[in-house]
Amino acid sequence: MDDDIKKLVEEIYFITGYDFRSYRPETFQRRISLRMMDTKCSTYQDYLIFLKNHPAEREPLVNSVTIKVSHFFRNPLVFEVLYNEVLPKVITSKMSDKTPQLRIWFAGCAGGEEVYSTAILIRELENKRFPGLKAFLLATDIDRQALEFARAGIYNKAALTEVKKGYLDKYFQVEGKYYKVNKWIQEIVSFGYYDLVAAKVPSPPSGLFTNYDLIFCRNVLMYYNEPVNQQIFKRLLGCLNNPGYIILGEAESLLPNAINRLQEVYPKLRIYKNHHT
Amino acid sequence: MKNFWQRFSDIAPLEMISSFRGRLLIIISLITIVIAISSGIINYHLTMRTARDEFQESFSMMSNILKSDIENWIYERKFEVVSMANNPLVQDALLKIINKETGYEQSTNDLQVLLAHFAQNRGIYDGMILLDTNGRVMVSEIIEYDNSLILIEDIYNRPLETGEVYFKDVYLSPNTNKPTISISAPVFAPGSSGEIQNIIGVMSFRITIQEVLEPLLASTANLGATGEVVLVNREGISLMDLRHRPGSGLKYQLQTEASARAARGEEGVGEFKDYTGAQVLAAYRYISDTGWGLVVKKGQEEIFAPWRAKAIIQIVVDIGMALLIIMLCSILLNGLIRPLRELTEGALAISSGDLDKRVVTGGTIEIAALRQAFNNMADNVQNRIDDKNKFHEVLKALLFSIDMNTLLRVTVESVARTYGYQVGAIYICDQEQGLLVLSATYGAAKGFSIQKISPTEGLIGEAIKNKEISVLRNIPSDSEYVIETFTGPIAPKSVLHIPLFFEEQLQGLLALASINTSEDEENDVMMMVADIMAVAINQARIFKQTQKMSNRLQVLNEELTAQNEELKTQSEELAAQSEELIAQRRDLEDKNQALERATQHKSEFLAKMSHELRTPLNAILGFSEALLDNLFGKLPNKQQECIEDIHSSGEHLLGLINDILDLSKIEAGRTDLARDHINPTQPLKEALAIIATEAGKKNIIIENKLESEDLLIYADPDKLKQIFLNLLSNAIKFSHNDGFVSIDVESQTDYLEFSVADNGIGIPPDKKRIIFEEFKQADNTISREYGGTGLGLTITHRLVELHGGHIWVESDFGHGSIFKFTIPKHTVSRITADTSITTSEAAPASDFSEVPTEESASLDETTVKAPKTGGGRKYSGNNSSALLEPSICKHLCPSDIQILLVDDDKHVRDYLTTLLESKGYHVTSTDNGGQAIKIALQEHHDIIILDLVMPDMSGFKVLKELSEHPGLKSKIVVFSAKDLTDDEKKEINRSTHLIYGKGMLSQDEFLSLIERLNGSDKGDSVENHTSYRR
Repeated sequence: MDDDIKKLVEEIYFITGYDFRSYRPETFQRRISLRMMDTKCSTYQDYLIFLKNHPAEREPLVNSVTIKVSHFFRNPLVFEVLYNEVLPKVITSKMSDKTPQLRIWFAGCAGGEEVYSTAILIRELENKRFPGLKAFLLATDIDRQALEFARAGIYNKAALTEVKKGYLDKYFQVEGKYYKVNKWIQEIVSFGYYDLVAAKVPSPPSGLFTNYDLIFCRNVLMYYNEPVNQQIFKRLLGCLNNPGYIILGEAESLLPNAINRLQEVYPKLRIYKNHHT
Repeated sequence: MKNFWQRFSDIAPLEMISSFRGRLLIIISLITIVIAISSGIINYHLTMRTARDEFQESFSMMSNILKSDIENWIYERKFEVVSMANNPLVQDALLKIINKETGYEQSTNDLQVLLAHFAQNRGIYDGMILLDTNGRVMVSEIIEYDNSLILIEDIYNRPLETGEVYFKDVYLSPNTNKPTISISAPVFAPGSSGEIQNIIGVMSFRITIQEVLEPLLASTANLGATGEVVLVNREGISLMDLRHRPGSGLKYQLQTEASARAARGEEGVGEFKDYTGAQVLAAYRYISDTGWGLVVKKGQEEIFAPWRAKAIIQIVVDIGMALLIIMLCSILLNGLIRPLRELTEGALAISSGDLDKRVVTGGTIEIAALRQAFNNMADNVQNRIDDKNKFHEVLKALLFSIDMNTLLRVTVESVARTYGYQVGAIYICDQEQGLLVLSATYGAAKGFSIQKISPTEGLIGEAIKNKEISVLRNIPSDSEYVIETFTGPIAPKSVLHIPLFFEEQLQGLLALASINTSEDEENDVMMMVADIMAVAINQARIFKQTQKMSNRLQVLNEELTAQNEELKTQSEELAAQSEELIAQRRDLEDKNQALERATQHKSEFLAKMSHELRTPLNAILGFSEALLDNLFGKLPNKQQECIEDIHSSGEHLLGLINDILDLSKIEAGRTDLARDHINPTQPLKEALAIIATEAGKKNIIIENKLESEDLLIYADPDKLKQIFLNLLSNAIKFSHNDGFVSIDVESQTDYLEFSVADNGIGIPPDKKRIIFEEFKQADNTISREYGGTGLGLTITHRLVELHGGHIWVESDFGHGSIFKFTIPKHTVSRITADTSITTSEAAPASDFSEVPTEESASLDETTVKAPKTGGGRKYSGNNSSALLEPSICKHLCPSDIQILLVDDDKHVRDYLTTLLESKGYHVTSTDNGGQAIKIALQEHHDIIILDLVMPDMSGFKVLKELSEHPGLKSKIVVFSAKDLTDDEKKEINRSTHLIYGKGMLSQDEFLSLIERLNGSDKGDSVENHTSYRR
């Protein structure tokens, strides 16, 4: 059984570039069986053929296999550094513009926790240090369900344990057992569907333009193999302003083709900056 | 006994519970004590019951006797009174007295004496009186009563009335104030029968009962300290003084159950409370004659005391018996447990190291067996420990040193001594010789005679082969085994040969000799010793080798260190050189960039210059032509020639300028290839048509071998035509009259190879390489002779390479030349790197500026490329520089510009509004098409930015409606995320100035486009910048 699963994972890797090889076979098997039920495939072979013939199946496949559990201010140190170092630096570098407008792209936003966390930080910065600061936060994902969830901005208590009490009062409204991010936060965040691997447009249309000051691409690369990751990286780098920052997930690292272009500015936090300033 | 208690008390409470003896004792004690106590209790109860029963019976009996005694006594009294009354003496005397007959005084006296005598005799009565019928005392034993009236009337009334004896129940005598009874009987007249009318007086005896009855009763009942006999009347009043209440006679009513029952006339026996509240055993009887109740009682305490004492003595005896049993059991147990204690002590002694400890044998069969087994076990343990100690000795020797010789010497001595051998020797296996070599001895004075042994021969060989100990016993004293020792020659009784194996490999041999006969059991031990010896020997051997290697390594290491130092020095030198090289390379790069810039400038300069030059030249050519056409009248011949010269020179100059312009365009990277898959025959035909006149002039035959071919290449037809034209005109130019030119093609896998051949003057071998460079014809004179600018081939060369092909020449000097070039059939992703032409794709670029995917590389290259890296300030492809050169655009100031923004997404509107306003534009925005049309028609907006996909009215519809208003001067920019089809694109193109896909260009690029739009009109170059890429 395990062998069959391994074979299937290899084939999916070969066909789509999604790298599920690091998954536990049992987990993968459980999730893939849901897809097989939906597509009425009785064997792995059938499913592979289906996948080959229906490129649209890639999206539900990824959605059912990837894990989307997160919470606000996950990896608090990253957000600490964002608030105290990275964001102020980027904002200062744009001060020469009459009205500086930050552009931030979350490539692979999942449930939106990270996006709203950043939005809170920006509102705080606007309040305390940079009055009149404008920001445009774009969050994209390949998972339309996740996008809907993120757009709604409704979270349970477990997702908010890292949120300071003051923030909770200021940026959330209570709706029964849940907390909803308020308008103040939502109005600077846009959501849009975007396939980092297959999209023909170089950057998400909902972001209007290709240039971003900060790009979050956390826990996305881990699902793909290296050639695909290189493509993704090329795309991300093509969309990065100068100066600009890319923020990767905790367990991800720079690909060889990007090492010359970026440098890790905060050790271990996976925050990378354009080489040339 | 003392011993027992001592032992008993020696046992600690805990031991009492946990030891076998203690437990057994506890159990036995509990059982016996329980039995003793329960039997005591049962015995006690039985005794008490018996006592009660017996007493009740005796009380019943006693009370019956008492009852009859009293009844008898009363009967006797009555009888006495009646007897006295009926005594004729008395009758006569009384009659006399009453009648006062003579001698009555004597009679009175006589009676008095009689009565006194009687009273004295009886000792019961305290008053005896004789009354007359009026109740007057006639005679009494006490004289003072005489003639006095009896106060208690019934004493005489009742006998008078009934004529019978009357018993007056107890009353308090007024005289004595004591309980008293009176019995009175009528005295009849003498000689009369007992009739009432004959009564002459009454005889009455009085008794103070206390004094009389008490002794009577007491004599009958054995009443002890608490016992009492109580008489009560019908009212329950005690008739006599009670024992515990003196003076209570007739004054005290008893409330007790027994007396109440007796008074009611019942009889019985039982346990009651008496008037003092004490528990008593009482029997009660009824005396019917008098209506008295009789109660005989005695305190229970007193009754049971002797019985209880008896029962307690019984219990004490029982407990004593129980204790005796326990004591006996304990003594018995001690006897049983003693051997166990001894064994325990023995085991403790052994475990604490006293291995010689043994227990005394004997005892019962079981105990004897146990003791024997214990002693055997102790023997075994002692043996084992001896073995272990010996083994330990050997081990100590083995660990004594890692040096081979020391190890062997110490080991052989230790083994021999420990196991009682007088002589020992170790042979070590010499791998090279394949022999066992004597390496250490013990006990032998002169060493062993045998220095080397073959491991395959004889008994030893056998032992080694089988990996067993070889033992020789009972060796005759004159054998070869006699050994010289320090104490003289000895003849061993047994000789052992023990092969030493480590991991199946023979390490050596241990030989031992003893004057005693060895035991077989020792062989196992010796095998074990041998195993460990083998390990130690192997270890020592390895150590020896390691040491050797270590020494060698040290030497090597030192050499390496030296080499390392040297290498380090070299490396530092290299690093220094490398840095120099890097510096040089940086210089070179800088220079290279400067050069590139210079080339660019040069080309741009040339392009401009050519343009500027062409304008006056057109005038020269135009006017000279007009003169030659005689428009101003016929010219003199001389002038005609001059003008012809001017004209031809002008044309030459124009050709030259055109070529320079072409070339510089190519070099400036502005030549666009409108490439497509085409058939090359068409461009060739066009070229041939142009060249035909020239060829006809020189009567040159042109053979076209392509005509029939069905070919396809990926090329720009115009440029291909130019290539053909240049090559053909060259061929004709350098051909002699009546020459021959042929065109051919050869198809290869990826490209077509064209050739243009002539039989003209040819090219000298040393010039072949330079003819493609600018202004280089084979000979400077050629220019004069054949005309031409010398740029044709250069341009051809560049054009071919722009297509991704090659051009070269094969020539036989004096006999003609063949120009060959290749054009790819399909797309090529890159132009060969060695080209010097500066094109978009040859521009310095990092990996990231490449088009992202394979497919996108095949896109039409005339369109705008994907955004470049970083801020994306550069465009690749054509027109980009023009686009970004603000100087070209003469636009309005942003603050004068009104922009209408139409998009249904609020985020988009907000963002773009902020962006554009920050650049100074005036922005009005709306979220629906209908509103947009209204605003656009009401007010002038310079630019309308329009989304296509909107819920109420699509962008397409908005465009259509706006196009129906020709007066509208706004420039429309479609800005949408929609994936447009070709048809849609075409449709939109008609009515818009710019189509721009969301997410396609950077913000700066977008702003530049908007800025540029200000200064341009529709139909200008902007239209070509359609930013859609599909």
